[in-house]
Amino acid sequence: MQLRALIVDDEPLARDLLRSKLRKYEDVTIVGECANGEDAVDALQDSSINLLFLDVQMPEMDGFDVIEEVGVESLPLTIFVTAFQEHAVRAFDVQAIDYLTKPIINERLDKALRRVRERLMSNATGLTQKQLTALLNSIRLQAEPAKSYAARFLVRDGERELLLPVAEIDWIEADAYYSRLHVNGKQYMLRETISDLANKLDPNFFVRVHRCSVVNVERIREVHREGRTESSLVLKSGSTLKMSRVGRQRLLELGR
Amino acid sequence: MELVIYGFIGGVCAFLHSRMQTQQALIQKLEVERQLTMAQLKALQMQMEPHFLFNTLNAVTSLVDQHKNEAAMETLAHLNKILRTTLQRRSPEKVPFREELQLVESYLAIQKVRFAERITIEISATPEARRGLVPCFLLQPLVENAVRHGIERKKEGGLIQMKAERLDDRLWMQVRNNGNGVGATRADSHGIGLNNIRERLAFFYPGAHRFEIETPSNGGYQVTIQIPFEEAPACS
Repeated sequence: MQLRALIVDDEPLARDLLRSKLRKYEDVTIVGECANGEDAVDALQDSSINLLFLDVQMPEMDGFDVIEEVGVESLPLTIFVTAFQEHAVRAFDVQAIDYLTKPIINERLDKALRRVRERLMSNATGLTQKQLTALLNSIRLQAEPAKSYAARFLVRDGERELLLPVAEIDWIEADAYYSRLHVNGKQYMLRETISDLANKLDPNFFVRVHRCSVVNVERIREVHREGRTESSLVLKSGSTLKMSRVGRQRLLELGR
Repeated sequence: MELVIYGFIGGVCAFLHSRMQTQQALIQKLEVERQLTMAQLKALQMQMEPHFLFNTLNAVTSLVDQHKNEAAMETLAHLNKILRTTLQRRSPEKVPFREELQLVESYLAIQKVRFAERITIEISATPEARRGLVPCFLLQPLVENAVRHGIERKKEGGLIQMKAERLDDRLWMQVRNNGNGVGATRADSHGIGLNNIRERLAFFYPGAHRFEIETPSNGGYQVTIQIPFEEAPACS
């Protein structure tokens, strides 16, 4: 089966390198290249594309935004390509078939493409879902040997700094490369992305309910379902947070 | 007799006062050292920032793949310059502006390789300005912010401008980018690095510096610093 691939990366040299590497595979045809998320969403209208190489960090609309926009169901088999591992677990949450770090190593690309071919051949969704879960678990095990979670964060409060126990956090809001902690009506900034932060917190208490927010489950008062994909949370403090479909699934899993 | 007692009390007071002053000076010195360690750490984090480092290595790999060896070597030389300079700086000191500028130029040269036509760089510093002294790691956080907000977040990219000149007895420096308008949240995320610079300037040049942040109405972000001009020793 012929693989029809789309390359999405905002750095020209990164696209050059991937294109050059893919040229060595006879069964891969590159049908397009995009330098940003919006163009990628447009290009993905072409239903003949069955393989997507997706960079995570891009201006304005990043890799995860592209997936949210296109929808996991209509997505071709997706290989994430990024400079750093921090998004790996999240990538599998959105059902990426593999995850490559830059600079790409030939053997890893080989392996990823083998996985793509197998998946296209098998076509048995029930089985692949199981495989994915196994893969995800194995990656989590590799990445987090006996993980201990953060107990408190050092935050700045005007002129002084204070040690904030994580249990006091109501919820966390993404703000570009920073995170804003909402604590009992006050806000503190941390120089860390929400993904990094989410990885440091105990998943039994903190759930990423949306791309831009992590919530302390102890603070949730109500869960509202507003449609097939949209839902929201009301916290004990009265704040309302949006919840994505993936976020809702995560919350449900925790309740089980 | 009374005079002797008063004299004695006065002496004790003066002694205690001078002790206190010495201690205060010491505390202040420790504070600035702490600040500087933080600045160094931040600078290191910027250069060793995994995204910056791995994307740079990926770009170099791509250049080699295309047999653009000259360009690959140049990029590696810039990376080498950045890592070496950063690792060699250890104490809270002033450095010749020329040196700080080279660091920033190397950083921007690498970003130019990565972002190609998405980034336009304009650097102008008079020879006189280059001879001045500045606290180390003064410009780096500013340029890093400018790239993050002005280039990485905008698909059409933008302009990074860096200017320096001597104005009478002062050294005038400016870093700006022409990114889109600055909302409150963006000002927030600029704040942490900027505070560090502000505090170090206040220590090195108490009452004798200016530090201005502007968000011009036509978009972008602009930071201007003025400090007393000090000539760097010719041999350094």
